[in-house]
Amino acid sequence: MANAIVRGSLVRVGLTGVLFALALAVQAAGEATYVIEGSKAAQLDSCVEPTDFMRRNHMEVIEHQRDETVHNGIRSTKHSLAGCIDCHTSYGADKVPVSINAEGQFCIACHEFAAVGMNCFGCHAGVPMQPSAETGDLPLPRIGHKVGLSTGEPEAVNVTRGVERGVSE
Amino acid sequence: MTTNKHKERVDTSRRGFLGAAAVVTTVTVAPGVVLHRLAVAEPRSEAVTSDVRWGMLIDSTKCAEGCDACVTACNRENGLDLQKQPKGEDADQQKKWDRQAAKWIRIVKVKDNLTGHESRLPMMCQHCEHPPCVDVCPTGASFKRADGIVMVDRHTCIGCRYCMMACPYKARSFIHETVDTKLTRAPRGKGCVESCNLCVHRRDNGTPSTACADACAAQGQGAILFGDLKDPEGPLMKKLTTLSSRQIREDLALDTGVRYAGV
Repeated sequence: MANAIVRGSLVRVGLTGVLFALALAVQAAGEATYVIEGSKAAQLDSCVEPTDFMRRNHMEVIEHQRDETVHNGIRSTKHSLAGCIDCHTSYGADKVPVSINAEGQFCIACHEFAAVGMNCFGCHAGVPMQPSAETGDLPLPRIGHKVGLSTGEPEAVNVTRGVERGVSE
Repeated sequence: MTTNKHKERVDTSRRGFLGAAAVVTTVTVAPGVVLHRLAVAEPRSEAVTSDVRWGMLIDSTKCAEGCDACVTACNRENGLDLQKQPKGEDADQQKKWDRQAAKWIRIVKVKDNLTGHESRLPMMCQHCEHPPCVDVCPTGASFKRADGIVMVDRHTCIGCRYCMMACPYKARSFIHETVDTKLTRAPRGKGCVESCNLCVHRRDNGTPSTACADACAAQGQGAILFGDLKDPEGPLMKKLTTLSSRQIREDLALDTGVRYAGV
């Protein structure tokens, strides 16, 4: 009887150890892949909320924020989908951002594993519009979309094109 | 809770702030090429209130023949130029696409058959006080924001297109196909209806004016004036008090937020 108990607890200790090691490995890999070096998130101990809270409740937080933004126009809070994308999008070798919803990326990696469908990116952009101020990464390479944007640097090419196309003849 | 707070106290400091944010820096790069850089303001942190009602005055006498600056600017601002024409064997493919591609502004030409006089009306969502699209929406996705902007909450839109039927201005578009490239400021996806939202991201980020009004002014026409219909001292109301303007289909008594002069 005593032997059985000892054996049982040994197995349990062993299993816990394996799980812990796995969790550590996943975490290490996760940190390497999913928080962009030099981004705002990289400088913080946790995300906009403690990591455990975010893992469990990020969907509630985003859903609440979406209604606040669409109906009340509040865009200043930290719980924005664009904010997730800013810090958690990875960049390819050519410094072009990879969609956060692409295979193996921040959002889809977990969602695929947990078999939870998600359709944010049916409508929302999966890459940051602006280059991250911290990393100096390049924005999405699309010419002609920064005109009239308050935050973008003026681009001579775009403006010229706009003027040419708009002139009345 | 927040609504009550707003009823008690009207924060007028924001108006001054918006005014201050309207500082525009102009840089001349080469002859004929002018760059505009708008000062950056903080995003909105308090819910929109009915202290303002956004609207526009469009002077059709100033709308120049052959100019489509407002349409182009709108397309760029709201990512409409990123729509891809679906491939197909159909001979009428191009015609279909011209009809179906989402447009937020159309230039409508109105001709007086007696005199032959033609007016050009840039036509977009008229942001009615009593919007028929909101009346008919079965899910509540079509709604009027407190500041008078009529828009679609695409999280709740089921794509039934009743609002498109109800709109007397043909202002709404349906997205038929998956959209690959989206802008952060203008989400867009298959199966939802959308229309002009008076550059709502600009409203919320404290950027003055709209893309179409800016583009029209940059062309030198200045036919589109954007502003607050509830501010008697604002440029829009000042202009509206001096210039004769009309609502399109005023017989419907929708009290549109977009008014037209010279019609």
